[in-house]
Amino acid sequence: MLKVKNLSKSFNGLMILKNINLEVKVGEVIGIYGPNGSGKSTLLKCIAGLEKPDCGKIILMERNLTDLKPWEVVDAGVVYAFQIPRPFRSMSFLENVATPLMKSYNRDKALKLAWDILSKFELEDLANRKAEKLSQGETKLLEILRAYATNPHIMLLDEPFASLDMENALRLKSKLKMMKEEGQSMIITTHRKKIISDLAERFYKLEGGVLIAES
Amino acid sequence: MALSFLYNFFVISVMALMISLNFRLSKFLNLSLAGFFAAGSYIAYFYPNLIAALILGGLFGFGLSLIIMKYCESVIEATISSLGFGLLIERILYFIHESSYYYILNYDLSWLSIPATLTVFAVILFLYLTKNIGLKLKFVESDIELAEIYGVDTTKIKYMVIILTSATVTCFGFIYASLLAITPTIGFGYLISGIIVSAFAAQLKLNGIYHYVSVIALSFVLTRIFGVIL
Amino acid sequence: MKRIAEISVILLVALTSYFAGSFYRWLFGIMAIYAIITISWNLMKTIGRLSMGHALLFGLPAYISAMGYQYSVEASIYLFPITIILSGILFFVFSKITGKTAFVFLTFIASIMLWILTPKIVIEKDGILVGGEVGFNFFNVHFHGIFILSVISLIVIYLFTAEITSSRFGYFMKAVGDDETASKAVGINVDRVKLITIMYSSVLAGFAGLLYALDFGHISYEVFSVETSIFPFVASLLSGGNLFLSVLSSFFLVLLKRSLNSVYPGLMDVFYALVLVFSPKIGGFVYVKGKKFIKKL
Repeated sequence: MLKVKNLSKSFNGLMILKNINLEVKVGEVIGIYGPNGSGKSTLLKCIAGLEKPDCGKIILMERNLTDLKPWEVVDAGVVYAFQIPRPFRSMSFLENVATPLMKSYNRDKALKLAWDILSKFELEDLANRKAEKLSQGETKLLEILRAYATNPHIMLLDEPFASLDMENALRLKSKLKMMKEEGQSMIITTHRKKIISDLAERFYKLEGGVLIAES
Repeated sequence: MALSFLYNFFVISVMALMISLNFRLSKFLNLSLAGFFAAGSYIAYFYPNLIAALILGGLFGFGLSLIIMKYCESVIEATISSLGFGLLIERILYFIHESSYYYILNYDLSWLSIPATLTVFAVILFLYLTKNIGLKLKFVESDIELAEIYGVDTTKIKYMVIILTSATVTCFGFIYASLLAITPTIGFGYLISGIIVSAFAAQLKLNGIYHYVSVIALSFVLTRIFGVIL
Repeated sequence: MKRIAEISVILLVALTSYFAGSFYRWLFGIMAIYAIITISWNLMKTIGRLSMGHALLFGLPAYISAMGYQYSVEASIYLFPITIILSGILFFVFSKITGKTAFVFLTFIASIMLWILTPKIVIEKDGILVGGEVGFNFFNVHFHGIFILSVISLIVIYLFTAEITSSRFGYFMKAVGDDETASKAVGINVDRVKLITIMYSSVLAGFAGLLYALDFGHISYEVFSVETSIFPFVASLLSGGNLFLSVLSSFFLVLLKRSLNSVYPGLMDVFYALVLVFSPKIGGFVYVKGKKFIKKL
């Protein structure tokens, strides 16, 4: 479904990603792990169109996403969730999740669909909470559900468990498992492989800018 | 009155340096400098005493820094507060002296602009090249929060920068008064010129003393090209 | 229901002005003009761009149109929409090349530069030099006409803007205002949202400028003054950002200006300056106290 071919990226002459090749099939969950600064976020941002790679191609279902604007990439079916959540602070949890839905539906319908998503993941109690008043774990959930609301073919989750305590990490994992069971494809990055060992089917290690598939 | 190229260069370079110092060390765009410049000019007309201008400028700076430290949490808030402060001074000048223009005809202190400008250049050079002070200033420029964590008294630096830059600009308003038609809005043109020069210099992404040297160089070039309009 | 109540209040103020006499009829025209500027400014603030140079969007189309008027009526009519579009594009370019902080500075500088440079613009008409500090003559509409035009315009603009800001496009605007990068990441076409909002804001401000020039039959460099740029910021600050309250606070500020300046000319500018100096405190104060007050009601 998603193919990354020979992708390279450098910043100020420093090579961050070297000839990255990656493939994700429909319904697959891929884990990418590596130390801090290995380029995991950069790789996901390049796929999402938030960074421009120096060379290489990103192909989703025969469509070349490489030179598209970030919102066009989302329209194509790839969405990125930030490592440090970036909620829309002036809106509530529900409105945050509804906003991407408003591209395709009117306001009331989008709010209803957002409510359905919250109900599915048993988060109705957070609906009317202002985003700026959410805890860290709740903000992470918001970030991921907002990405999920775009109805993507593939979600790119950048260290979703970073800075979470055990309780919030388990809560988040249960939601991701629900998404996986629906057939949602994901690429999840982490610097601790163990934490997503029961989520991901395949793993890649990213070190020194080089992506190595694990057998 | 049209100023010669050199006089324009001196005042614009000093204004640009003061703006840069405020932005890089006190972390806001000081828009009150126009009002301070005007106040200096009015002092030259009504009470020609350079020390008085220096003290008044320092007091303005102290007042402004108190407001910014107490109420402002972001760059935009501090900038807007400084705009209000400068406008307040301008308005007070309007109230006290309602006439359109004043001209100083009986003396000319503009020659002071040469030693004053060179003094400003030298002081900035000295501060940044002095090992201890220069290091602290560069630290504050690059990351003020980290500088605070590592024990640099950033509050003191902010206060000193605002007070000294305010006093300097007020003095320059005093010095230039005999060359210009004195009105409450006399400083705006130089403020805008200074901001433009600083903005161009910022694009070069130089640090420490190199940035300030580039400000002086760009002031020279831009005054040469645009001096008459600005 | 809420909209009907809001329009009723605006109409009540308009009708009170109408029956209070000619002077107040004229004054309502000014109040409506400044309320439209504030609505225009609020739109830009919603997308996270605080403009301290709204005087440019307000004054430039009418100023250029007035310059064209010195040659022909047709030139005046054509130049107006062209300048609105160009001003809007200029602000959009500013928003593309700068972050939120630098946008404030850039718009302020642009507006002040116009204020500094326009007194130097002089054109020759029938062998006579016109313009400069004096400015240019323009079409003049009787203040009764301005009153009717301003009431209708304000109500239509207010209703339309209120609808937009509460629609899904309004959500996109708020999202872009909160976080442009996150908006891009969830599929919002940030450039399109900014362009549409800024162009609409430019149209509103330019239209307000036209009404202003038609009311006075004249326009000068003073239209680019810092006061014009500050007005919508102060009105929005006092209202806590609420659209309807911004209209009311615009009315209040115009009335306050008449009162204070009749005590001593220029006293209103002192008020503006003090509001700016203490704006970080005032904004928070008004918003929190205002919300508590409304909840009690």
